[in-house]
Amino acid sequence: MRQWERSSSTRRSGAARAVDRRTMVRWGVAGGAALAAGSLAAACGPGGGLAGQGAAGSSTGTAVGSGQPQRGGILRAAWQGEPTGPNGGLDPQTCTSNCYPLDQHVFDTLVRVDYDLKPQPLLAQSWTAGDDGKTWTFKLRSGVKFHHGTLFSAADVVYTFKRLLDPKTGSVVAAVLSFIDGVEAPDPETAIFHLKSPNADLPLLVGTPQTSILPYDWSDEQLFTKPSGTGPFIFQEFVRGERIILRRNPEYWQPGLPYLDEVHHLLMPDPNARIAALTGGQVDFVGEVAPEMVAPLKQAGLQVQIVPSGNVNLIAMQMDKEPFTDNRVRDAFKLVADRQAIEQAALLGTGSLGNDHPFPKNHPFYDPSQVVKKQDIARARQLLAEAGYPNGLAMTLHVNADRPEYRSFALAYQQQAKPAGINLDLQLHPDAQYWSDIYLKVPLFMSSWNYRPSPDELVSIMFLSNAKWNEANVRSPELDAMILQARGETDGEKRKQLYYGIQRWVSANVGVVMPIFRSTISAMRPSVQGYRVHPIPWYLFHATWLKR
Amino acid sequence: MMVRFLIRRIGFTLLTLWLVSVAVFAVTEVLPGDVAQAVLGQQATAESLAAVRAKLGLDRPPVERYVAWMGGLLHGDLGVSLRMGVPVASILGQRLQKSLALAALAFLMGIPLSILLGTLAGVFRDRWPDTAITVGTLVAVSLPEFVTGVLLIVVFAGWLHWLPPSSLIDAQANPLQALRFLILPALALTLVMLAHTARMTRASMVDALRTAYVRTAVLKGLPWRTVVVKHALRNALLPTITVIAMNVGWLIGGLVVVENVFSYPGVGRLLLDAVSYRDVPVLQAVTLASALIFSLASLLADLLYAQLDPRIRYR
Repeated sequence: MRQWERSSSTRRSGAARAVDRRTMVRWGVAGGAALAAGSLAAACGPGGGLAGQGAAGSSTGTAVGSGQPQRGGILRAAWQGEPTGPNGGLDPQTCTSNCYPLDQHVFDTLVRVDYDLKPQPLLAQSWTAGDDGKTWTFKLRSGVKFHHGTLFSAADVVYTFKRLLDPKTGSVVAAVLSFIDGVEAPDPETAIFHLKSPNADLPLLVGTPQTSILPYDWSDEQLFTKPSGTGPFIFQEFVRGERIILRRNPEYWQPGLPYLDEVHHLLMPDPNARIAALTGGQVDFVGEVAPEMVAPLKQAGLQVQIVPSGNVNLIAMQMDKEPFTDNRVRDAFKLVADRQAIEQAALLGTGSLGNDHPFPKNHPFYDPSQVVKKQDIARARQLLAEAGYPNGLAMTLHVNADRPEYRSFALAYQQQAKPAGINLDLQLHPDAQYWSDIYLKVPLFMSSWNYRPSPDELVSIMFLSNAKWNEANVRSPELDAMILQARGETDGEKRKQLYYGIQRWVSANVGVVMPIFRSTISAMRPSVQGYRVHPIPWYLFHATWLKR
Repeated sequence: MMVRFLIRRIGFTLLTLWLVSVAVFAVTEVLPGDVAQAVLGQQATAESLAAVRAKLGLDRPPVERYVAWMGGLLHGDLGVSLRMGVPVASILGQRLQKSLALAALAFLMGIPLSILLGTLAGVFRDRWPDTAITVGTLVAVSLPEFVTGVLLIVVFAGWLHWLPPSSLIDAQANPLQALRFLILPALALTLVMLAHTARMTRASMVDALRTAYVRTAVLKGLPWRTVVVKHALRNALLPTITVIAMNVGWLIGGLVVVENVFSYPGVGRLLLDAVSYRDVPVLQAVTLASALIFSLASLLADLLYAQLDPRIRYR
């Protein structure tokens, strides 16, 4: 599922939950390999944004990508659903779910957001910001061809962003990118972005799949049925409900890549069917794996990659509604959480712990000096008494019944809150009803977000006073000012400090209990090499190869 | 007489279909959740929601939309899928073919098998083969399809490695190879309908074996096998035909589950996807198509029955 969307809707799995010890290599082998590959990526510089991808990690301890990459073969990947959206799903700007079969395979973006969430050159070779932070000049790669034969140039960049920002297109990311005033092309190899207000995250934002560069000489009708991009794979066929077939782009601008002849994306909505197909050898790769499947898959000799991510699960307390107008009550609700136990119950040891703000521990801007809150029932009781609830209080917590991790999180939290005098009545709602009738409309509800590469987006999408998804209804001029200042700050070190401050402020004041982050879990057959899970999660098969 | 019977039955079928169309439309109207919201995902903005609602005509009153939908339907236009952006008719056609192939195989395996089992149980009434068959088929029908499906996968794909666990047929597979992919889901469907048909065959077999003509045939000195096959079974099959027609209805329900368990891209999965994504045009079309198939099956059963039993025609 793409990063703008809510958390991936892993369906309920009928499989028995394997009780897993906490021996998961959460920050272990996978993390170590991430560091190694990260430095490689940094060293390879312009022109080789992908070359460092070979050295990825697997939790089995063997380095994936060991040995010389082999050309050829068909990679078969199983997915929960097919690309969908108002235009049918093949248009990257309006695709709303399951867009990854095409994202970043058929198309390229200006920038590649690497595995450490740093921007790397892709279709843009370099970029510079003007002094005011409002003018950004991107130098483009030349000699790159679209699949239908025409050369890529700045005119395509202008076309792409004009279409994306046009309200008629109806892209859900137009709101996020509305700070872009326009793009101009002084020559074919230069694109200048003019911003309405400074935003230091522009390079990261033009690395997201919705900003995939579309050819200006390719009509909407063509795009909706036979998309053409500059990416490593060419769109071949889409049989609805069955498969999407991509074939190798022999003229891809990165020499030697991709290694695979074809990628077959197979649609298997049932999670058990995907796992059965993987263990049975019918498919080579499953992108989204439920935590309870990790142990049995490893036992079956398959590679499982678990990469910590910023996909957050939370309980929102609306600060304009009783009793959450009082920060002592909000604090009490945060202090009753035993984060470790919630993680264990909901994610079986595959996730990581949060500190009531949306930055995960491996984020480049995570404040390393913070100590993750510990459960403190006595303090919570005392805070509630001071706030006028000496005998505790009863509330209804609304839960989306179709997300398995919501339910286990809610049940664990309900038990933890009881000793502090917080009696929670859990109300479960089906998914379709939850987002339209419950979400943002009740004082206490659960929610989740997928990770975003832009630190500004992590906070501004839900904490700005006028944010569309202001789940906690926080309206603080102080926080708004902090967010806007950090957004415009182009000095790296200063910016870091600003985000540290935001983390402290949000954790101490805003009505969100954010105890856990879901990891991205992918599983693949032993023959799959050179693949690495991207934390967003994105699924990239550019440098993937099959060992025979 | 036959013509009048036919006309009346066809008339009832059309009435049924019309009532189903009204019911389907009404139900999709009151489904919780908003269609535009479902199409755009949770983070849709107010502007994009309004744009999609206008595009889909959701801002028009329900009666107007029903009339427009019916009008299209009568012209063979089933509308455009909200989720896939392609005409519903083309997608429904593709999926129906797939499901028909699966259902045909299930019937091909299931009907002879259940008639055989029912006959055996009837002949060996109250002895151990009867008990074994009755218990076996009852267990098979009591287990939901997602359980039998998973069991079949575990045994035939997981342990024995005879058949593929998922039925998404390889693009390059020839028809014979394609058949391998269909065996497990067809088996899961077969198990569901086995019990009904077998038990009905058994009951009418028991009745038939008690009749005077069977006794006459036996006393005449005909071999037992001839008596059972030619005299008893022939007559015992009549009620079975109705049960088989009813099985078509069961089968459509079974397809939803089985196709999902085996990742088989047929109408069952189309229906499930349509429900979960609020793809109303597809939902309406699939439901109507199912109702049509079921009505046709029972119409066919009635005609066949009338053909086999002349008494029916004059009622």
